[in-house]
Amino acid sequence: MTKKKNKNSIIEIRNLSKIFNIPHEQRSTLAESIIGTITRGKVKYEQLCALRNITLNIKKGEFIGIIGPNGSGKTTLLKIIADILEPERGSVKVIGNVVPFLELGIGFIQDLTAKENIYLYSSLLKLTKKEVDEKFDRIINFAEIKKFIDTPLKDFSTGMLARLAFSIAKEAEGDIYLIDEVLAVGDEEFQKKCISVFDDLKKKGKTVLFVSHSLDMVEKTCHRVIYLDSGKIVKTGSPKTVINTYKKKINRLNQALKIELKKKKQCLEKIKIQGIQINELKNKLNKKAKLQAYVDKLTNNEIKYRTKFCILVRDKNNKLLYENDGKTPCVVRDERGNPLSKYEFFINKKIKSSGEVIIEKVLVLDNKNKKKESFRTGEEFIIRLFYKAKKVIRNPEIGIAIVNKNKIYLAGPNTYHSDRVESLNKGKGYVDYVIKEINLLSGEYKIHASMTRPNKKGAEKGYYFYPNAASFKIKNKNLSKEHGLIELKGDWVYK
Amino acid sequence: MSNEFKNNFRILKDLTLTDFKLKYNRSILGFFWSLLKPLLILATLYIVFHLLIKLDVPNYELFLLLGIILWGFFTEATTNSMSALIRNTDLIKKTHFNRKLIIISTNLSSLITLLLNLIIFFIFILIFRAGFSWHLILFAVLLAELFVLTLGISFILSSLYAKFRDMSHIWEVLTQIGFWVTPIIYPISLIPKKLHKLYVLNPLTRIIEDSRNALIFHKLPPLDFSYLKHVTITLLICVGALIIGIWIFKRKSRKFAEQI
Repeated sequence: MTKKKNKNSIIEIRNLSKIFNIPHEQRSTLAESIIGTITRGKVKYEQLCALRNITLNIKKGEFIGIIGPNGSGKTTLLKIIADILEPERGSVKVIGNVVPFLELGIGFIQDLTAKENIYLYSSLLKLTKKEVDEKFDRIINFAEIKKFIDTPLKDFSTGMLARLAFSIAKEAEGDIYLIDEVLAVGDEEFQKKCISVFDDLKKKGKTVLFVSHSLDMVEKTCHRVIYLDSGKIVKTGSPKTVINTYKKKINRLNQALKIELKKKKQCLEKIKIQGIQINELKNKLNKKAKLQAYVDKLTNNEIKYRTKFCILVRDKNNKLLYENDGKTPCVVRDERGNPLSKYEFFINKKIKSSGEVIIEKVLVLDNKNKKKESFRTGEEFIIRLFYKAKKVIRNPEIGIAIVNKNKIYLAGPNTYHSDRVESLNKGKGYVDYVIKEINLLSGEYKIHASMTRPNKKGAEKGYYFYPNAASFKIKNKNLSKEHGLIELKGDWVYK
Repeated sequence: MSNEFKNNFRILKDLTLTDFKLKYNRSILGFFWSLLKPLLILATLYIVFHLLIKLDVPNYELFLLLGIILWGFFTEATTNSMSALIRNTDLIKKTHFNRKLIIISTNLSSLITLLLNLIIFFIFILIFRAGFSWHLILFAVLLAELFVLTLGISFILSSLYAKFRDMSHIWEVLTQIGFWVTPIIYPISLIPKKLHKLYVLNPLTRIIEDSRNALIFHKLPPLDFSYLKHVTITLLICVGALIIGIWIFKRKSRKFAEQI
């Protein structure tokens, strides 16, 4: 058709670039500008390159589709062609009258009625009053606003405004039509009408630049498609091939997104913890560490699965901030959604509790009942277990395990085999295990603590198990004299 | 070319009428306000400066009213133009047309108000029997001069305001000062001769003084050297303001769509 006859370009774009300077804090008062000029080096502008080196020829009668993700520069390109924005570099040559339909509409004045706006806007589109008079009925019929002709536009819905704008734009006697996302607003009926308008424009041999996210529409109507991404032309050519490229890219992006989401989910799973008094936890965390806790309800299945586990939140000084008996699950994160690294989370399966009694903390003390971390071989040594019981606990088995750095189980004193404890009182209290002379040699040691029911086995047995409850060091002056793991008290006898 | 001119003229007409309509949109008295305002100001100033302070000027009510009307046009046109770009953000961001038309239309809409006010003024002339004379033609020339000045300043202010919103506050203060350093409520003859040199720099001085001579006192100004010098300076300032205004506006208008 006209396309073949007229080989001259109607739009000629050479090496077009557009940069938006976005100041981090917009200076829009004089003082700010003065200060900004003085400290010029320090004011940071973020340069947003909306279009990079675009070269494009559009021939008369072409129906061009422009696709690309949000922020790829589609609208900016149209605005430069419409001479609303000025290019940074490069040249744009446009022959003919441009009719813009940008950002869901056109320049309406909200306080004027629809009728007044039609006339005003038509004159901006270079229609004479006579022409508008003739076209007036068609405009309002197309926009479906016959009833609201004398209503100020501020009472119109976005959809109505866009419909009205498009109805006027389509009546303008332009050579080039720039249409930005008209299909996004109307209902199906309106979309059908739009399509018939497109066909009409095509028949008349008008040049149309059509921006849309509706790929099917683009494929159906356009002669040629341009795929923009981050201001660059990724591909241009026949609708099918370009749209396929775009779809592939979207799929890849979606998959990457899915993987990222999965990772995030897994990360959250890890820090899912349980707690009934989640508000209490929140308060405590907020007060003590200004951290936030979010509650995330889990499914019932997961609750069942996790009922036997318990969560304790301790701060750096091993102070118990929060404990629970594990009925309502929750997720604890800091403001940024990261796990709370400042706190130790015992979401380990190893911590088991029936909820009746817990070991709050375990301290290592010297003979003056003072907290101490470093001892010498032969000193008096007390391990104190603080507990909190919900009821009187009869004949509990209290046990301690001392383990060295290499995880060798060195000793396991408990109340089952000796010194049976009669019962623990309801409420808070403590139990001491006193070692008169510690006979371990230099090294770092850990203490696990447990409380169990007597004469039971398996899950039934446990009250509470607390791994890595405390740690201590033995430091002797002369290391060269030490051999082995423990000091055995004994005498060499010569015969 | 003529087609484009025709088109621009149509846009200008539509924008002007729109601006005028919107100014009184949703007010009960509508454009009667533009008639009522100068009369209310007149009444206040008349009481203070004629009845209380006893400023002795012949035909003081006419003298004062003309000053108020002309000054009112100047401030209204410049102030409205300054924010005109912001008020019409949608037009600027979504359509392409000569941006100057927005400013010119705002000025024209103020000019309509001025002309309506002048009708009141002429009614006053009839009431106080000051009469009419051929000097009316002189006034038309002065009005054109005033319009050129206002337009020029409007261009400058609006281009600055697009980026620096301080301008509205600065201009508010400047017009307040301007009201007192322009012979609106007093004749320049009351000002000591020493200060006349400063008054020469205020283009409104000559315009208002000469308008009064033409409309109220029906006389030509003394055509001596110092007067001619003053007229020339005024004319240069007016034309200069317009040239500078258009120059700045043209430079800045490229970025309007991004700035506002």
